[in-house]
Amino acid sequence: MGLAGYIGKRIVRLALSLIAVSILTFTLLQLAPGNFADLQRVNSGATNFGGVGTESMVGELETRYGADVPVWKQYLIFMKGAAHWDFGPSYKYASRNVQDIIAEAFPISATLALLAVLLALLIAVPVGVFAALRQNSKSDHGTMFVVTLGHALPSYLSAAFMILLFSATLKLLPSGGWNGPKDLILPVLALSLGPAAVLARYVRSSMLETLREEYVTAAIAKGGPRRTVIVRHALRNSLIPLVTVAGPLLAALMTGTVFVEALLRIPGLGLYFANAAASRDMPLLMGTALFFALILMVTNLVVDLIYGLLDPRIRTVGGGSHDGN
Amino acid sequence: MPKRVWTSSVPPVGQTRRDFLRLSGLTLAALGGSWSLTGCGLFGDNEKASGGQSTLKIDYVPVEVLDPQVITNGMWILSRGISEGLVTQNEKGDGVQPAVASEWKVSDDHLTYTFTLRDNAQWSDGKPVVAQDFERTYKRLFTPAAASAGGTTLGANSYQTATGIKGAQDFLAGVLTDWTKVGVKANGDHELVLTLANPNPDFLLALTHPALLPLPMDLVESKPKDWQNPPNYVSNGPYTVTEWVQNSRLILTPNEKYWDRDNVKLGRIQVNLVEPSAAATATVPYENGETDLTQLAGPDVLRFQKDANLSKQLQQTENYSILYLAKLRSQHKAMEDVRVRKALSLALDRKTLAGVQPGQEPGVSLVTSRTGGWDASIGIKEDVAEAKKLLAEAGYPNGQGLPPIRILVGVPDTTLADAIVDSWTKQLGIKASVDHVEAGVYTERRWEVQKGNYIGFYYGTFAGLPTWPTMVGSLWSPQNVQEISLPSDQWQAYQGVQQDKNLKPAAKTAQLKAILTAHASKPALEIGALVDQAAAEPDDAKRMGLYKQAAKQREEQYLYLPVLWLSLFHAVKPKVHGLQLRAYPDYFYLKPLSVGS
Repeated sequence: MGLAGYIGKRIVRLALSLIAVSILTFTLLQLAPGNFADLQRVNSGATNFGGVGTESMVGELETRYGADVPVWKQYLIFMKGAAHWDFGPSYKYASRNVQDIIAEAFPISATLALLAVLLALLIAVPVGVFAALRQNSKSDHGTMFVVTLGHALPSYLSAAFMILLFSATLKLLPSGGWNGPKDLILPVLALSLGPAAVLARYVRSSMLETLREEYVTAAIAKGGPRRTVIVRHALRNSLIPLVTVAGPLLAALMTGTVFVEALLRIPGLGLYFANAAASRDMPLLMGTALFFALILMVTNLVVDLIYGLLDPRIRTVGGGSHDGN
Repeated sequence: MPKRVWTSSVPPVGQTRRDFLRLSGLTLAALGGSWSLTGCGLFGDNEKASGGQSTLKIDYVPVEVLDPQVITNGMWILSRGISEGLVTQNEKGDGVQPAVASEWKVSDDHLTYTFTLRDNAQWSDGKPVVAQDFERTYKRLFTPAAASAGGTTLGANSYQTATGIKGAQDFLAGVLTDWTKVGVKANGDHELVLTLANPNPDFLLALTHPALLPLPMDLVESKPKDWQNPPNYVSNGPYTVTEWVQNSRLILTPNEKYWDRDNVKLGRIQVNLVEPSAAATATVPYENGETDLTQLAGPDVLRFQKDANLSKQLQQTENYSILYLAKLRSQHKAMEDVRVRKALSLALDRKTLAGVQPGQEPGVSLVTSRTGGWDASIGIKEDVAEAKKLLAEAGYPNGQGLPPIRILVGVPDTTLADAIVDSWTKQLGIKASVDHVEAGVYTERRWEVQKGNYIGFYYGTFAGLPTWPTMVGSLWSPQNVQEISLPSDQWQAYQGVQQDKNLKPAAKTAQLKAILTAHASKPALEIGALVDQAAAEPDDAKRMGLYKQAAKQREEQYLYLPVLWLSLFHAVKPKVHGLQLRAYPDYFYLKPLSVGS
């Protein structure tokens, strides 16, 4: 099977997974108590409380699905639109189509995620190498303790802590909002700590493994400078496995920055996703869920392809392939 | 050349690793390039802030829709001064002043209001604001939802009970289909005639509701989806919307065509769209100078009150809303006994409850004391001994045999609900608990007939105009009281009719009314009759008497228990001038605001 066949097979699998995700999301949404209209009344300062839905939603539904369409048909109509990248208007953000919301909000989440992963790498590589080279010393244990702490701290807590430190106390940075590049600093810092910890542990163990390899021992025995050996031989090879971690981390961040976005008032896609679930906004929830699933699967596919390229061994041995779902 | 053996894993990509790195370098460069091109786009247009002009930054809850006829938070930012209605509220919020209408005449029978529109009123796109704009907007409001009509109104539960425009409610319910029979008529460009079904002294105040703001209907009809999105947005108030980044901010700039442009003092208003939060970081933006005006929650109010400097920046709006409990329908019959409900209300220690958070008052009636003509005669008089006696009479001496009383709560903060439970357990020795559920669960459960021995109340807050027609006719309206008084089985039948999609509007309305007439409690039906009488009564003193009677009768059903009258707190920077806070859901108007040094 050539590359095209392999990718073809993966794309078929991806499509099937997306359909599964869509059915699951739609079913869960139907089973969830409450509906958009009633919630809208309770949460939006409506000053009356009949038990019927807001007519605007009924109007939306009629426009999109025709009057009184059964639930299964609504699903099919939605999916038919989705196949053409048309998710229809959101219930909650009634003046906009879901695909426009995604197009506007995803770049924001993606920018944060990418910068956070880059920063995490910048932190993790030196820290991991430092710990590996001093294996089992006090500085190794100390570093790993701090790293574990960083891993255990949820990003929204570190974000809250940073707001108190950099905004409330030091008055150096805005405490949130999305008005200019300055607003990137806090969320990227907060989002990078967890991934940095994960990556640092990976770098350390991978580096330790590489340092035990014969070719490293040989290079050192040949009398090459230790620094050159470590950087040129050991480090380069020990960074390869990072691809398999950094890729999914990036995807996870792109789709999972909701708490930090909410806390720092950043209009990213995570925030819309959470709002869609809370307000039972079917088109927005389905659209964002499918989009997130797509991002995760495509990232996994790309990771597998890159990994295969970077490490020739797995091409012939057949390991390390993510299933992408 | 040996043949490669492929497993199900990964085939080769590119020729060499170098190729790959070259490719990925190109990709990154392309990404970087596209970012630098769209760099500003990532943050919207905010970098183009008007230099040197006075800017005000205020906090507001996120706005999802900028349509004043759709019930969302958005409508309350519009009425602050983005759109302007026929009249606006005066400084205290107890009367009106001219806005788009420069003057009006009221007929001797108090049924016909003839408004004269200013000839210099203009939309921000330079078109004149004319009477037809109002007629067309109101027609949209009163048109039953349908995709073709924009489908934005609330349906039969809209604000018409408070406005009382002739035929509006029937038109909205689909019973009346001839628009010419509705009391809204434009005579030429500058005269609008509104006709009421019954005299309503609060009609002019009711016109200040966002739902009655004018819309640029040509634009609304030609761009049904996009008219709300800048740069399409057109308004007729002192300010207009020039940027809208959802979940982030609204940017308002003066409407250069506004008829009173000289009295609009700010160059720019940045409205930060912020979810209200009880987080420790909630007030940081204010204290960090990122906003000049924000709302505060309980614990933050306490902190501000204790701070010598910050306490001066605190402004309180009293009796802004009412915290109430509404009876849940249950299979268990304990709560059907008015004595049990009355006991629970009489035993609430409202004074202690009012001390739980700053700025609250014991809420002794559903009608707040700010309503003109209010007196304690319609209020509840707490009496623990009487409450215990009532419980015993109902067959639950010292609460024995009474299932735990639950309070169903769907908002994040349960502090006050916990305090209510505490009050009952202390005063009556009964079992009670808070049932804290997700908002969606709340909306569904509060309408259900509760199973087994689950009895209690759902928890809510309400705010509205402090006028009798609103407080008695619209909030906890006669219809609501009748619905909540229905026996469980009838309530289920009622809901069945509500959800029957095959019924024509007129038939549905008739069937629902028939169920209420036959099965709602007698006092609840009398409340409806009293409110109808009051609405039709031309004599001021008599009318207020009837409303009071209806209000008192409503209290005595104990189907809705008033608990607290809540205050609202704003933190306002000293440099903000002209802020006139009113106890109304839009809190203040933007027009008088300016920024000093």
